[in-house]
Amino acid sequence: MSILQIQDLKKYYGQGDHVVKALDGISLTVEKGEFVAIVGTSGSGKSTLLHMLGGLDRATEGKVYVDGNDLFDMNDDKLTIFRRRSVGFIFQSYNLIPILNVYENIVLPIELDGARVDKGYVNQVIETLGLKEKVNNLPANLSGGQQQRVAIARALATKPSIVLADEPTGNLDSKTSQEVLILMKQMSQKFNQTIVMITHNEGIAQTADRVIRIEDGQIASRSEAGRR
Amino acid sequence: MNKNGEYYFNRVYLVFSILLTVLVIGYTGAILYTVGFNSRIVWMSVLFLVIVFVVGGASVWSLKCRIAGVVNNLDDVIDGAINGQDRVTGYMETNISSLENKLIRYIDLSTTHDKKVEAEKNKIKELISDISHQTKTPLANIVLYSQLLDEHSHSGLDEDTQGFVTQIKSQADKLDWLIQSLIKLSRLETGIISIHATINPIIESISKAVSQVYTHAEHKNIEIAIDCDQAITARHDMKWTSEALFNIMDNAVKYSDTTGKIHIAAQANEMFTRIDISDTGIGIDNSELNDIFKRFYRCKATSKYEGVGIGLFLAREIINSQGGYIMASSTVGQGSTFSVYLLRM
Amino acid sequence: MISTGNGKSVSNIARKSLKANRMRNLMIVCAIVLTTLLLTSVFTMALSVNKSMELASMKTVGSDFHGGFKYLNQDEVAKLIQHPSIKEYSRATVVGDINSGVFKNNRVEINFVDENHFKHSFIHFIEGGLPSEENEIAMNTWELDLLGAPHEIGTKVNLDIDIDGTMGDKVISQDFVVSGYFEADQYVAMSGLAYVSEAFVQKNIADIDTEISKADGSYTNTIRLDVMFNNSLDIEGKVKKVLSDTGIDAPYGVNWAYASVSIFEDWTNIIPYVVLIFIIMLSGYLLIYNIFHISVVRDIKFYGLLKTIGTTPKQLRKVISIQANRLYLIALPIGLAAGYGVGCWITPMMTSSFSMTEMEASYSVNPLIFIGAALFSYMTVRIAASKPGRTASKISPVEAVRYAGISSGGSRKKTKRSVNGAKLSRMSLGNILRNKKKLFLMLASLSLSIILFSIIFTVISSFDVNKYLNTFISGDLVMKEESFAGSRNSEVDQYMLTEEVTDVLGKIDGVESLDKVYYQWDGLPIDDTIRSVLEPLIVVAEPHPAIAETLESGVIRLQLHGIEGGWYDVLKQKEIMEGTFDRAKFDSGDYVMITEAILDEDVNASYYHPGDKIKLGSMGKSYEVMAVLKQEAFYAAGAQRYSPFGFNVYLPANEMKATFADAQILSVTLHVNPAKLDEVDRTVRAVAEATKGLNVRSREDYRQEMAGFMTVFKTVGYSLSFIIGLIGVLNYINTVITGVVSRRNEFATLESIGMTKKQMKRMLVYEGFYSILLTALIVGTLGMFLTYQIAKTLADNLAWTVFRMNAWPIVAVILILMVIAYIVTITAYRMLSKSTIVERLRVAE
Repeated sequence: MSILQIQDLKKYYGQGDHVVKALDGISLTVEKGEFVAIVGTSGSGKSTLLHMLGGLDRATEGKVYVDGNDLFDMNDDKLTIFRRRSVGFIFQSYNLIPILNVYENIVLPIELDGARVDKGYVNQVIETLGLKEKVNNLPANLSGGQQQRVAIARALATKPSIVLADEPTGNLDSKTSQEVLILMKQMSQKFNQTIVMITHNEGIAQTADRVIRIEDGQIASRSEAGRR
Repeated sequence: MNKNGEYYFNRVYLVFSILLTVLVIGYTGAILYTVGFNSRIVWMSVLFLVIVFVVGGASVWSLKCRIAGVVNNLDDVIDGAINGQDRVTGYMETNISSLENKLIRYIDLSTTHDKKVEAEKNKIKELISDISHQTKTPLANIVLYSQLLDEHSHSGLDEDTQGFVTQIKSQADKLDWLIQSLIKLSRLETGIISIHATINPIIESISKAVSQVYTHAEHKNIEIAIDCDQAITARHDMKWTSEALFNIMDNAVKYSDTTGKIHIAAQANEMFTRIDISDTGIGIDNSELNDIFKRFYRCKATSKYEGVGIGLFLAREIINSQGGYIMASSTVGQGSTFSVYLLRM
Repeated sequence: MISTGNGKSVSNIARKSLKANRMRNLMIVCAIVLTTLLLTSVFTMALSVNKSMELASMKTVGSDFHGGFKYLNQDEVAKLIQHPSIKEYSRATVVGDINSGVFKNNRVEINFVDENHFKHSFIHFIEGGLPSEENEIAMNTWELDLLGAPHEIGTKVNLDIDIDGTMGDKVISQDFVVSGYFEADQYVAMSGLAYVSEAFVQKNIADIDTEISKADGSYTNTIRLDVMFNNSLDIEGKVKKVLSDTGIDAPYGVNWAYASVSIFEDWTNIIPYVVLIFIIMLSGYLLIYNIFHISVVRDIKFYGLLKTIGTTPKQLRKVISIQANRLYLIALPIGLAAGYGVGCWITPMMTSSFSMTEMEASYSVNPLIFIGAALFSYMTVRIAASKPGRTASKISPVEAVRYAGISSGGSRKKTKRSVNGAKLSRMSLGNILRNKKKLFLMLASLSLSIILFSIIFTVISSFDVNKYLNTFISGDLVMKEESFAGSRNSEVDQYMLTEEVTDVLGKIDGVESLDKVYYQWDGLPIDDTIRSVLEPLIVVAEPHPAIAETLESGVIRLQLHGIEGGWYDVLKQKEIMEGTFDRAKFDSGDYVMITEAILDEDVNASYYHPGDKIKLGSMGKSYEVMAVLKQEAFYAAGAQRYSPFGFNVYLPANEMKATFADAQILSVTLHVNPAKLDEVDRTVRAVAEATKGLNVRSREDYRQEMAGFMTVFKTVGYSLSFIIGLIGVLNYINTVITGVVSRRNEFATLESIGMTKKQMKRMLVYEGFYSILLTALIVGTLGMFLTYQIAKTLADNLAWTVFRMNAWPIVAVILILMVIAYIVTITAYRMLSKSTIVERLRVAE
């Protein structure tokens, strides 16, 4: 069973003549372990799509199934808990909690769940992302690339069904961007993690296994960028 | 347990507290009514109520802790079972212990299954390894004889036969190269040869690769420039990494025309050390960029060149197993750049 | 340089910004109004009280003229009124006085005055006016009462007017018709007044030679010229100048009401007002600052945007300050008006509580009040708006676009050594400690308000009626000689409170005991000891008006009190300044206890000390001073009258009885069986009714009198503490809301990674809980300590409180705070979760 199924997703804003069609009928399937990039210019609807996938926003029409769960069938609280357990978010502006150190930021979703931290796994993730030395640092004292790596670790800590990355390299320089992307790819392979990344940068998109282009709320082309 | 779980518990507490309060107040009221108002009685009743609440609250709270403890125990049990560790609860007369038992049984079953599958795979790998090993000798002989034939051919073989002999020789060479690569690959995959990655300066590995490709390059009048600081290090197995680098450079030379340039640049970043190998060759079409690393894949444009399509595959396997990554970028007709990322620590 | 014409655009932005923020504007206006109101009322109060005190003194003097020249003749008057510095004047001709018959103890002065006189004296005709006919006379109500005449115009009275003083015996006896009557305070002015017409003057005294009348002390036909100058500064100097300029030598008087009485005289009186003003300004500042700060933080993107398109920091600051000024202008008139009203409302309460005597409240409309209040209020607003203004101006445009609110500001901490901090409670603690400075400020202001509230409340609830009453009356009932109940003269020819009367009282069923106080006045010749104390007082800058007279007279007045045994227990230890009270020794009759003398307002000192010997002329014996008491010791026993520079002497009753066969009884205090109190009360009052000249007061009477005062005290105290508490709480609410609003984006992130609303609420509630906990810690320890110390000191020093430690205010406030904290937190959260996560996240991008 595919881990993500999108069926004819539509999101309209406004009414009548002033209708803005952010998403106009998107259908997509993603298998487990895939690294998918969704490319589009600003206003193409890619951010909207990502927010839908994470249950941050509701669609006007259509369905989204994550791991077999119908997202729009859940109420706010359930969605939040679903997000906590099954979705990992990586934002463009890292969005770390300033008063928590690196380790605490990473295990926050787990602790919110009241679950016990799988220390072995978390340490493995921390090590692979090269954060072992900085585990006690506060976010204010990390570089952009390091902060994003912490965000990645946080996204992976709960072993989510799917990781959603919103322009993860948007605030990073080209060198750091490359490194972050490669790490994401390695994470995807090593932990068999499904990653859906949106970006406007073609070059970045190439790192993914599959590239999907969105234009004006619809899928313009799909290309298989090749398997690993 | 119904859906509401925690709410259900809270409601129970609430109901009981109210009941208790009402009782105490009723009792106090009754006493006061009979005995007459005495503030001391009132205070004592209040005290009583408070103490009861405290005691009740404490017992509820400690029960909660117990239950949480039990759930944590279960958690440990499951973790332990998944990681194949020893039994956590051992052989005890508790529900949890028997639960653990069941769980271990189940996991054993699935692990066995997995192991079988793994074993099958390994058998196949070994088979391939054996085959390639076995074919080495006959192949060596074919090569030998074809060489001898080639030498002797200069004395009294007609042109056709000469042509056949040359063909046989070149095919034998190809076969040799293929078998060699396959052997290396299978050895790599089965883990007979292991890669030991240590932190070393990469300049050595680069130089080694360059030296192997130097003659070929000189032959074609291709310039090789190296831009690498002595101090740049990476965690890599020098022997295998230089082999991977050689494969890439070999391609660079192979697919470049005469008087081309090859530029090798190294850069140390935060997490990775990056080695860029750029050439001025025929380039690779964008659609094929990820395909070139596939086993036996050859670009459409390379039909007239020699090659098996296994060099990049091998290179990627080597680099990946060191925790690194290879990327390619290219412009058709202008050249390609292969970026090799190696872990720094 | 020629400046660009961009002032308009800046004010345009400010105007639009004002329009867009109605809610915030309303809150700020309210805060400014509150501040201004409080400031205005304080100013009004201070100045009105001051004016009232002046007025009270002037009433004693009789007019509000600056000064006056006495015993002039017509020519001298004509010359004086020419002097340019005299703005207004009025003539009063001395006609004579009435000092016989019913007016024996209450002298009435007869004058002829002009209309101007009334403008400046405190006489208001209830009916009618000044006399015009020769046989008309205007009198005051108590004079009519003494004559037994009704208060009506046209009433006929027969008066004997003595026109040549005590020496001569020329008396004009005739019938008069009352032309008008006025209300006058029998006890405030020195003597009663009545006015005759010019016709009368012409007929009877116009030809009396002023020189002769001056010589014989009657001063008949002399004219007193009362003058008003430009202002009340250096009246004496001005008067002297007039005299020297005109070359006239005449005695003059300076209205000492202007000179001496003012609350500004004594710095210590001003301190409470200054402290009050400071507190008000501080609280106003905190309130307004917080509101502006929240506003700036909310609109940080707006300001950053402005900066991006080219607004300089100075212009940004102007945007904020223009808004602040406009709001101030709106709020100012409201605050001033309301404040003046409140101030006027409170002033009577203050004046009646200030002194024991009746003081009529006078309302000062000094523009200084409004200017001062407006100024201070403006200062507060300005300072409060400046910091947010600077914040807005310093924002970097890029940062503004993704401003996450309060940065973890300057926390040098690099690492944090914990691995289990993601628990909600720990996170809450971390959140609070994020900005230590802000936390400290909030805790400080909250604790301060709570502690002040607690102190005031404790002091008020320590109000002990009995202790208060004990200063006035030691037993249950007291009967006094009426002439002591208020009038000034102590020379009476018949005492009504006699031994017979007291015996009757003592026999009433229910009276358990009675104590008498005997009285005798005496004059103590000023000896060197006394002189050494008094003389230094003359050489100060503004000597007391009476000191010269006293020294000249050579005598200081003593009031001797003979106290019976029951009074010994009334004396409190802290009333003894020097020496000790030894019962046995005292009973021996060779010892006296003396009080300090009043040298000046609030300045007391004793001439003698324990061990000194005083010769009491009237007793004909020397006594050794056993102890020196405070001025107010034995207040209930005393005559409750003070002569300047004089003091009280207490002897055993038997001593006085031994010396004076017919010793005058000042008062008799009855201690009554509580069960029979009503009956005894009635009986005693009946006795007093039957005998004229006796005055009965019961404890209950005093209690009722004082009830008004108690109410005032409580009202003012409770309202003050309530306001202070309110300000602290408001400030707390502000801080919480700021904190929540500026962390919008962080909360959005948390919600996106899976923190449920419930968890978020719990975290916020924990935060509130922690801050209250911290406050409770501070207040519970330091607060209790301070309350105890300060309240105790206050209560001990106030005459009507017995210190009772009251922990309830603090406990109650903490509980209320918890509830408020919970409500505020939940409300703040609701405010947040209105916008969806996406919108909030988008802001973060």
